[in-house]
Amino acid sequence: MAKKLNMRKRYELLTRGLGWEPTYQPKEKVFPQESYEGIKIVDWDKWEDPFRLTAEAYWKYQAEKDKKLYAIIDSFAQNNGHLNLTNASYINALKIFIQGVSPLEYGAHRGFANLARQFSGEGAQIACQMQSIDELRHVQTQIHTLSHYNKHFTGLHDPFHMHDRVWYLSVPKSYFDDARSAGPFEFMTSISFAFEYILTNLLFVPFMSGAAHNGDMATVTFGFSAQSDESRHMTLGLEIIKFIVEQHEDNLEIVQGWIDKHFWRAYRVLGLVSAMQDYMLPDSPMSWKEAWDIYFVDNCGALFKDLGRYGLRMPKFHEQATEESEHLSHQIYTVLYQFSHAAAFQTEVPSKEKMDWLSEKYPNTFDKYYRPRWEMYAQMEKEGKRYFNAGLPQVCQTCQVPMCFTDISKGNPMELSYRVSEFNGDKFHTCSDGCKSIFDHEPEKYAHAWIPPHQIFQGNCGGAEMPDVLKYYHFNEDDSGEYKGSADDNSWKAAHHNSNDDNDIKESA
Amino acid sequence: MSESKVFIILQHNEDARPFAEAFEQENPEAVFKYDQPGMIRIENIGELKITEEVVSELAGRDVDLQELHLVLVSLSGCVDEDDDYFKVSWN
Repeated sequence: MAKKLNMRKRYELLTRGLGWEPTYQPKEKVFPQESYEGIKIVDWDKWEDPFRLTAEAYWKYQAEKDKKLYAIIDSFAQNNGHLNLTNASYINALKIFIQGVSPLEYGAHRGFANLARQFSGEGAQIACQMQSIDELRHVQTQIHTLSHYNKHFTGLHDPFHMHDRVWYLSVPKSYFDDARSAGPFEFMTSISFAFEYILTNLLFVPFMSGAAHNGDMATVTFGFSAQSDESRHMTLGLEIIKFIVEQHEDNLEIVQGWIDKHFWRAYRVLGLVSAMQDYMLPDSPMSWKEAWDIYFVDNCGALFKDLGRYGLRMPKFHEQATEESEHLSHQIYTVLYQFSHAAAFQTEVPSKEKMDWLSEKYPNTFDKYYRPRWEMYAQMEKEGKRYFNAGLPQVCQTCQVPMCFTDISKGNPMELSYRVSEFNGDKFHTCSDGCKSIFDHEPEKYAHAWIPPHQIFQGNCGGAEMPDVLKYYHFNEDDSGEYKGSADDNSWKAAHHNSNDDNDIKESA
Repeated sequence: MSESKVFIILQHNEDARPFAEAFEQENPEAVFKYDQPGMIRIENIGELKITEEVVSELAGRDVDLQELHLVLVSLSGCVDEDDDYFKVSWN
């Protein structure tokens, strides 16, 4: 029997020598997107995937991951695992996940399929094909896992329809659309490097740990299953950046510009995650600030130290992101709280225990700036005046987050931050130096952004009244508003009431 | 070797055990953290490395190091792998 080939040889056979030089058409026409961004690739053969997976190994391990996951999903459903959560309010985090994140997985699937077609290097084609299939697996496993929750809780019934229309979901959607409407090298820098390498740990690791902490075995399992692919994607993202920069000296400045831009874009999307982590998990294992320090400050510090020899530096405005880390979740969750009558999730004033936890985790900011606000909202609720903001928010032209951020980097945490740019005689507002700098670099792109409040005012979202808009979003009546007394809260209490019935009767007797 | 920290996060389960134990045995300086539910976080300065020989010995069977993919949660550093070793390091 022939001796089994070693790993390097197997990878080489899979990724080299299968391409050809076209003769019927010039190469630029066969790969029309490869050169217009200004990136120069001299030798595609220098492309090396650090994980040298062959097709055989890939299918074998992916099948094994799926088998494990589906066994757990089945058992979770058969044993009514949803009843073992810490609290049904936890499901609100899952709603944002499936509405906001799962469609991004699908966007990544499409984006990488396109890259597999557009790159002429065979190593890159194979890597992009595998990643495209991974991303499709992620969106499918997320839908399958969360469909069990959809049988019992609100807001989970039509995430893809919502993703393309709803105001808070335009934050993640516009980021991915931004990357997908760029050229292949920019898409790759954005998704594989800025998102997957620099920031994805902040999404998955604390979120899955949070799921584990709150009794959500199903989400932990799909999260870990996806994350095992993510570590492969991250590693690839890093290699790609090095590959591009090593290919030609002209590439460095272009790539650095993309890293700056997409770091800030992806960071703004993660603002939603900060709110989920600090406020929407009944039991949080780690604060946003702690996760930021570990996964951004420490980890990316080490990463960019390593990338320094290629001439790359930390992304622009990273200091501002770090300065904001003690404020971010509080500011974002306040917006979600004020506008949850128009959202497919419910919010509530943090409990006393939660506020004490926030004071402990945010000693410099929570008691000083944010606790008084929550106490005021709690008081209003007590007086029967639960606060909902009746207007439509102005949102940032770049990141599309409502203008809720304050000027922390300028030393004014009490003052709303906004920047103004002019383009073709119109004024455009952005939320920060980071978003303004992105807008000013490509104003012709961002001037066209589909801004939800503008679209509502223009009559493009189902009608002039709030109920029309909510219908256009495919929201059901029970999806929105205050958590306390919501359909989810009531059914949760009803399901957990039986065991306490005897006590209740005795007490009332 | 770089002074920067590399890390590997594994699922905290039976499939990951021979890998986690190999990291412990082959990187005596490495720090193990169990503070996040469901995960083992392994940190070291400069690099983390395991060999097929040690992982197989600990598992009691021949292990293909790529089985690591089944239990990997995250990592930080540059990956170098072959049939007989797996390494994460900063240059």
